[in-house]
Amino acid sequence: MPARLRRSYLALALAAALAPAAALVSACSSDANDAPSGPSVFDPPGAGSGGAPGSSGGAGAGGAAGNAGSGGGGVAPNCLGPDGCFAASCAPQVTEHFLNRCTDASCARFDNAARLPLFNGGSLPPLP
Amino acid sequence: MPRPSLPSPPPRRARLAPGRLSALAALAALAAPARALAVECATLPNPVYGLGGSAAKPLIAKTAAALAAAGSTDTIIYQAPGACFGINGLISATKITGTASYWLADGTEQSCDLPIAGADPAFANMGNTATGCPGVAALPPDIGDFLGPVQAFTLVVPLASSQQSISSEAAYFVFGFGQTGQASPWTDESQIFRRDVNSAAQLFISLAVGVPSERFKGVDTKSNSGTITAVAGSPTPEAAIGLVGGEVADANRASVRILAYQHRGQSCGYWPDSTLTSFDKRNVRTGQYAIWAPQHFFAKIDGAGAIVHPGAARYIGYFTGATPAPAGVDIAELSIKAGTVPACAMEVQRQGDFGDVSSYAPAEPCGCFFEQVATGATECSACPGGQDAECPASAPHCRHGYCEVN
Repeated sequence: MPARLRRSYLALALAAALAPAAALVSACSSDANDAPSGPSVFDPPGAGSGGAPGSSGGAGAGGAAGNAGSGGGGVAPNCLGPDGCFAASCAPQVTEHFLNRCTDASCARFDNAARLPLFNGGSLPPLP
Repeated sequence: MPRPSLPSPPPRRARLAPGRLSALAALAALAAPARALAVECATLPNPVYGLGGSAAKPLIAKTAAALAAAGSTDTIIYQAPGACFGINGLISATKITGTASYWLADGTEQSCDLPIAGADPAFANMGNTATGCPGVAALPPDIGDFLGPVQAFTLVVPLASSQQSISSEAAYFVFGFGQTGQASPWTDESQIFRRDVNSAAQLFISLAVGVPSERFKGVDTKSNSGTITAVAGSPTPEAAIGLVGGEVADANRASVRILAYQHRGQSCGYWPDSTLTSFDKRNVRTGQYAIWAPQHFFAKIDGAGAIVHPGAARYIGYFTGATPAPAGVDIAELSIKAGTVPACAMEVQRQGDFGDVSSYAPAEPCGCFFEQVATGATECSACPGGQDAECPASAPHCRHGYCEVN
């Protein structure tokens, strides 16, 4: 069976199997940034941190942040999409812009505040 | 030049008495039928031994099989004990022993027995830089680092799980705290499947979520395929989660589901692809999916930077473009079909392991070709004759059979 056809069958089977969960997934037209404030951490293994990850910098509208070594950066108002995403009309400059570009790709939100009892409003506890 | 036919299993112990022979044969059939059929790796045509991670096995498999089908005189033989074992083995010049995999022209994976005295790895492959591995402070000057296609790293759950996404913060609690992390439903450490510090997949999840690789909670599955087996076969699917390379996840979508990943600063989780069920790798290509990296091939080099081992030079050269691939072997197409993204289809690049992302404009982009191969369709105009004259003014460059803007 050709690979393309096999993938089509697989996609159909997966779609059928996941239909009940489809309602939880939406096409994300934007990313309203809800990043917590906190220390910038993405220390490589063995670097001795072991600490909690947090966000770094900020992207203006709500503070998109938090990638390795990135300092974030402000977002000009004309680069903000309707829901705070990074507009396609602007050239992304830092990691946070790429992560939060306006897109019609599907996405599935994970609600940290509702699902993580130890999240504690945004700061993460040190590892045990 | 036609490829020499692969040898039949050697007639071992031919002088044993018939009775003992039949007894041994019966025992062998019961104990290890695959092993009994294995050939000696050294008897395969021009063996080129590779060592490294299991995340890249789908890519190695597809390219090795295509080369065999095209009549290459080299046999790519790969052992996958874990990413960092590859570079460390190359640096320490440790011979590999035991068994390894090679692939027939039809793609069938075979096992062969390595020499008793061991074989020298000609190349290593893994998803991270050398210094991301334990014990490697710097890449020695006599070893070169050559970039391959980009792969995603993913978190996966059983198909029976209801979970669709996970955040960086949630993964921090899952892998950093285990059962005390209260990150429901992933609180049963017997169902949290991890790797070890030599795994590229674990290294990248570590960098993404902020848990040092050596402190991951859960059960070590030893390999990407081990993770798939453990996750897919979990007796409590809602509680199960594992981490694998994107190639392996794609090849096993009938068994596991990739979770959308919501990185810090994102308010929604994204899949490597634009939807759960697609294969377009759009979010990897644009940087919207956070956990990705180019594969790295490593090999001994001379003072001029040329790869010393002729077979490794050819094989790695097919990926870098330094060596034209044999007729009928399209490395870019094979890479796409393996679930990776050739650099020519990337719109972003990054520095180091999980470093900052920036825009990338390939000299000869192949985004249209990527779409066609990965999804079976593209909106780009075709230029089957390979001529720019076939393309419209809006996309004037014919590349890989499709009209690109640049």
